[in-house]
Amino acid sequence: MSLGDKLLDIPEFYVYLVLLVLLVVPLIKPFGLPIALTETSRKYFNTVESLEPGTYVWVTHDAMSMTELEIGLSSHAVLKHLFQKEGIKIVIGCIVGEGPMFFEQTLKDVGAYEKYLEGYGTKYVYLPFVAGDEAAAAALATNIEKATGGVDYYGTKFEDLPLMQEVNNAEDFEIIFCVDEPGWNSVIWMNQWAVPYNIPMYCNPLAGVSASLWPYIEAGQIQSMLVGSKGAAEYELLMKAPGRAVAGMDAQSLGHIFLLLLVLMANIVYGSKKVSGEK
Amino acid sequence: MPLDIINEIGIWISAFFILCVYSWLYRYNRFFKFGEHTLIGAAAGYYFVMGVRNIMNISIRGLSLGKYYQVIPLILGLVLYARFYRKYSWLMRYGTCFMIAVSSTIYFRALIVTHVTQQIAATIEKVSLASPLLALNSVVIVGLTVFTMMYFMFTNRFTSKVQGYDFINKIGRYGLLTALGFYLGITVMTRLAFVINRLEFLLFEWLRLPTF
Repeated sequence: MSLGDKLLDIPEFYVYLVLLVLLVVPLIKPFGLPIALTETSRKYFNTVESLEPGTYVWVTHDAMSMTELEIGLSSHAVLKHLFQKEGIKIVIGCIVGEGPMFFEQTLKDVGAYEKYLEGYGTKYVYLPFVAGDEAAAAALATNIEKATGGVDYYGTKFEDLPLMQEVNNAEDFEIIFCVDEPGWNSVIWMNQWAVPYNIPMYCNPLAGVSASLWPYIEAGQIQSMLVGSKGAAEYELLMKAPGRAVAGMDAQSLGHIFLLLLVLMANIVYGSKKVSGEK
Repeated sequence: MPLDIINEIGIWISAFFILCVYSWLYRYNRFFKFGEHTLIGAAAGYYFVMGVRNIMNISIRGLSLGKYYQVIPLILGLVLYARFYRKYSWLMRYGTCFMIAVSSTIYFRALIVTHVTQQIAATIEKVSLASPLLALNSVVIVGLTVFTMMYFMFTNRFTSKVQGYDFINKIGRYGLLTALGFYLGITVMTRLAFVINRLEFLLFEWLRLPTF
């Protein structure tokens, strides 16, 4: 058996084991590798930073358990920043059933729960999950009260929520943040809210999904985005509050290098076998 | 029961299920199967509750307020279950048709502007001959966009035999593979983020290891 065959025959178990070591070591003892700031993350941060008091903000928190592990990092960072801003008024909507399961925990994690519980109804409102994906987003855009049945997530009627007397459709909002975007939801909100009503939109997609959103950013339909855990780490650095995303970046870098080496090795072996005429 | 103890029990249950799921890396086993089935069961139960809550908020509440038209979506939803009775299974077509019609109408309304006209405009607007590099960039963007679309739209028995068309097909394929490579590369970040997040949980919340 040649060296190439031996390399290709390494049992998967050992590959996972090496990857595990490479991920665990930097988590326990971080190296502090540099994190380059991208223009998209800066633009996102500067927009939140420049929000004026009295701005009506539509936030979508479509969290899912299978994607929250990555997007949760950036949604935490952005929600923390949004809730720190004085005077802005936030309405949070959701068209993914699992969203509510994560929202309250997110508020507690970002330290906004106690502070904003007092301002509930005037500073922010959390709407219930509305089923129907694209149809739900369209219904919310035209009439929030009809789409939700006129109650928030906790069952409080809109009549008892002062903020919901001030807004009732997409035209009432000045900016959209899709802070927890599990898959194709940014495109749904873009289709039904951002483009038809000409509202600037920012989103936090999974890194894997972000690749398909670049054309919309290039076309100006989405203004900017935070790309996965790297975007979250950049945002934490811009906020000067390094947290969980920054802590995981060393492990991300080592994991990427290892996987890149595996891809290179497999291609070199495959190429050399092809050149030598082996099967 | 004090909150700390409840949290601690939650952490141990979480850690147990994470280890159950990751045990698949060794081989398919009963622990993995248990974790998988528990997740599916819990998710089904959760979604059932959310669905009921949604119906209560919108339809039932609407009916109680005198909005009798809310009975229409209720009926359309109920007829979906007619599929379980062979004699009445044809009824489900009405519910299904309504759902598909509404979704596709709403989607197509946005499709033309967001996915066609604005995308074409953005591609053309990016064309610039201000410098050799920008000109090359423009050629690559416009060329790959057009050839990749041609690869999809004109691949059939006739066009694949047209002389010179292979060249266009090939460039279209290269465009596609470049895009797929980008997708795959960036998806690695997502997968690693999932693992890192769970490792952080196991190391620092469950095992309570210190960081240095």
